[in-house]
Amino acid sequence: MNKYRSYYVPFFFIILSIVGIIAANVSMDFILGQLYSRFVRNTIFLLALIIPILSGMGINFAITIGAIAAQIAMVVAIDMGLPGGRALLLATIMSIGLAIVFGNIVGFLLNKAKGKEMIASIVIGFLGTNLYQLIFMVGYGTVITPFNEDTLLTRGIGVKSMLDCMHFKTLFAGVMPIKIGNTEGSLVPIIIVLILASMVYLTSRSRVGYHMKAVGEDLEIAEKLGIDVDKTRRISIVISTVLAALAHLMFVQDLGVINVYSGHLNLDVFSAAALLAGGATFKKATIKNAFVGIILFHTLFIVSPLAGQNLFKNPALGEYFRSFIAYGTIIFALMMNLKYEKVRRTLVKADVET
Amino acid sequence: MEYVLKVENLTKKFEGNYALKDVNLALKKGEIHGLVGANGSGKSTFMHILFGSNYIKDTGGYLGRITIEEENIDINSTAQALEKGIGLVHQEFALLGNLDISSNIKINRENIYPLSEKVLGQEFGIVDKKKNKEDATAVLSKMGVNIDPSITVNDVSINMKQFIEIAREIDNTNLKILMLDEPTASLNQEDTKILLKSLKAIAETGVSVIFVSHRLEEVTKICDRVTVLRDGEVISHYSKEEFEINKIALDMVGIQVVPTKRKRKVQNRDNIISFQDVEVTHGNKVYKKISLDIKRGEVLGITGLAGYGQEIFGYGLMGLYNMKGNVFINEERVMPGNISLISKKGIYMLPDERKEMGLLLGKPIWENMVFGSYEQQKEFLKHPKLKGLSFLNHKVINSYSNRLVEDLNIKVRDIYQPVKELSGGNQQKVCIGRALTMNPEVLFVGEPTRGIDIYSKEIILDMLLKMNEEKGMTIVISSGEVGELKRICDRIVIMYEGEVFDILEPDVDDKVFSLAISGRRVESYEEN
Repeated sequence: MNKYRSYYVPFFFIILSIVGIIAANVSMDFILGQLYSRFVRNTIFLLALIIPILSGMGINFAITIGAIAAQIAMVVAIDMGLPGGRALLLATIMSIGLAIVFGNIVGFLLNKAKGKEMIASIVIGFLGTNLYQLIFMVGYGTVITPFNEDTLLTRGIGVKSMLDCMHFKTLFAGVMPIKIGNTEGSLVPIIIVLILASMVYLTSRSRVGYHMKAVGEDLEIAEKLGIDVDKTRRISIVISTVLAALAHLMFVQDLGVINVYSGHLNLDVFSAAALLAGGATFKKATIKNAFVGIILFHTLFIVSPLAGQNLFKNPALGEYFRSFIAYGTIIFALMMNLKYEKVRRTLVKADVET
Repeated sequence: MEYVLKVENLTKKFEGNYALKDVNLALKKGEIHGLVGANGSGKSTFMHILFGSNYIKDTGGYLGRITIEEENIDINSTAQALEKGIGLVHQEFALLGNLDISSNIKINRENIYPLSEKVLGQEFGIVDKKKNKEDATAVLSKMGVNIDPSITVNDVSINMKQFIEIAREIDNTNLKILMLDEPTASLNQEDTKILLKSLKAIAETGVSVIFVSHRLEEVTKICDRVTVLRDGEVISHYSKEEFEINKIALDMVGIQVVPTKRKRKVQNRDNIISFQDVEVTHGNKVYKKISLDIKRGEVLGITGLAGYGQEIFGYGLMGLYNMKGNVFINEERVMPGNISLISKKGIYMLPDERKEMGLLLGKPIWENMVFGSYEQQKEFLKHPKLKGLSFLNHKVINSYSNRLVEDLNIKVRDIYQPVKELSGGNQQKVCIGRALTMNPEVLFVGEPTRGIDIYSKEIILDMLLKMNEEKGMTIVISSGEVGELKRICDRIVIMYEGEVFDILEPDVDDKVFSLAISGRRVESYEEN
């Protein structure tokens, strides 16, 4: 039985998805098309969560901070009014730079909260959001002068809540075109996702990756082995934050519009839920979990409002269902984890006696 | 002869208490140097200072001079100690159970594909698993051990873990000083021999070894010199010609140790606990059709090779292992694992994993000694009528705990010190103290003297006997130390491959015991 434990959650999601697809009564083409864009938008967030799990820090809800770094970079890039390609390049470079700085700060803070990283990262995410909103809502137009007055609200203080960046969206159109379901897309974003996934894989196989595994298993033992625990943990948070920033760039690029004040919200919870749906736990996550999770979780996400509409004539019901699934998955994974922990501990003990 | 390591006036204080005081020690190249002393005498502190362990730094560092190969150094991190060629084999293994053997041996010294190092740098270079495995196999076979290095460490036996732990240190080509903290404590005789042999081989390659053990026979057998520590001070040095176990033992504890011996009592008692054809499962281990009668008022020893199920009776009864079948306490059938009922019947267990199961590590000594005993010892409560709602009567508890600390010779600052700060042996004594407080009718105790110095060992054995004689407590000891069991038990159960193989009288010949432990019988004995 124990062998199949890690498949419980994905299996549950497969069943839910099938039920959802039947209830929603939509074509496979539609679902595949939607899945393509959600795959492009969200997969990198899931990849960003893997490395902190490897280091034993649980789910890094502070990937919100990485998203904020990307938002700042993009708002500035758009404000400067550069043409599409160059704006995206500048935004990428800037967001990586910012993410490295922010990641170090988050890593430093989480090292002060050993054993309680998950709750700490949630609160750090909130704090970051508030600081960010303060700067863009009050700072712009008062302390910071924008390059272009048009980015400001009409009252002259604060950035507009929506900034258009359609020129990002059309950037890849026509390059290596593919047709998935009913959506015309480009292969480029998928290649980017795959490249980042292989980078995460290589990191886990690198020297620092081995140290992360050591730190993840037992802080004290890792320290006894001469591993710099704090540094290893900080590196994994920096990597996670940078990936989150890149993920958000991809997200906005595909969406074509920046929600300045709310675009980065909830990404952490939904990404965590998707990863857990793929069979990951707070102790163990693989790239396979990320890919399986993104497909299962988002299939359900696509069909649930439609199913709500079909069954109860009320799409809002499906919306609630989405949140219910997201938080439910996390709680479920939490409980499964605790149970698994107990089993593992006694098994280890059994071994000591043999 | 040149000295690899010179330690001069090494002093370490923990909150005003001296753990080490002006310790001087010089280590020659390629020698095996024994470091002996009672529990809490400062052996571990000494090694942790040399190894740059974090808690030394966190508690204010150390005083004194440390010179390695003529170079005066200030050790303040483990990474630095490793770089200087100091290796430590931890008593409680520092192994990562989820990683495979080769990764454990090569940790922090991983082989990296050269090209990836150029491109990605030292930190992010990709680890060459194959080369790691080759290295691991090589270093293990150098120690006389053959095992597939891709097995995860969780899946190997405790003996093997000890070898992996040592292999990790000698894989360090820069190794100059290898320190071993009780490396033989968890090994059987066969493996101890292999280990001692490979230690000699390591020393011959020019590595100096600091060897800590409570087993003085081993120490005198393989060491070139011995230093005796007592209460943080160096009491004496001996070189090979002067070795004399009794003298060393006397130096360790300061007073003559008299071995405890039980005066045998009349047999023929009724059964207090009777296991009849029980089945015990734990993890993927199954023990089938096990029967054993425990007689009222006896001291029963259970021994056997590691992993053959010495602990199953206590663990099964208390529900730590899954036990099914007929168990009778005082002729009355009980469900094994129903802890509240079983403890009401006056049965108590001290598991051998004291740290994980036996102690509240963060809590002070007094609490560990009286915890859970409020029902038995009403005077610990201010208003016994209120039961669990009552405040504790700290006056009574304090004087009681202080008395126990003195009786059991526990080395503590005061009874408010958290248990986790005590050395292993003293923690064990705290456990025994709680058993005394609980005053049960039957006490199951696992490995009561593991990792404990000779003096404290006798105190613990003596205490157990005293409980048995004065209070009529039935005591069931599972232990690998046959010699001790023979001294204090009425009967000794030999477990072999998960079965009750034989029950022997303690005055039976040693030879019969060692045969029985390895699953064989002596013809002449059977005829008796």
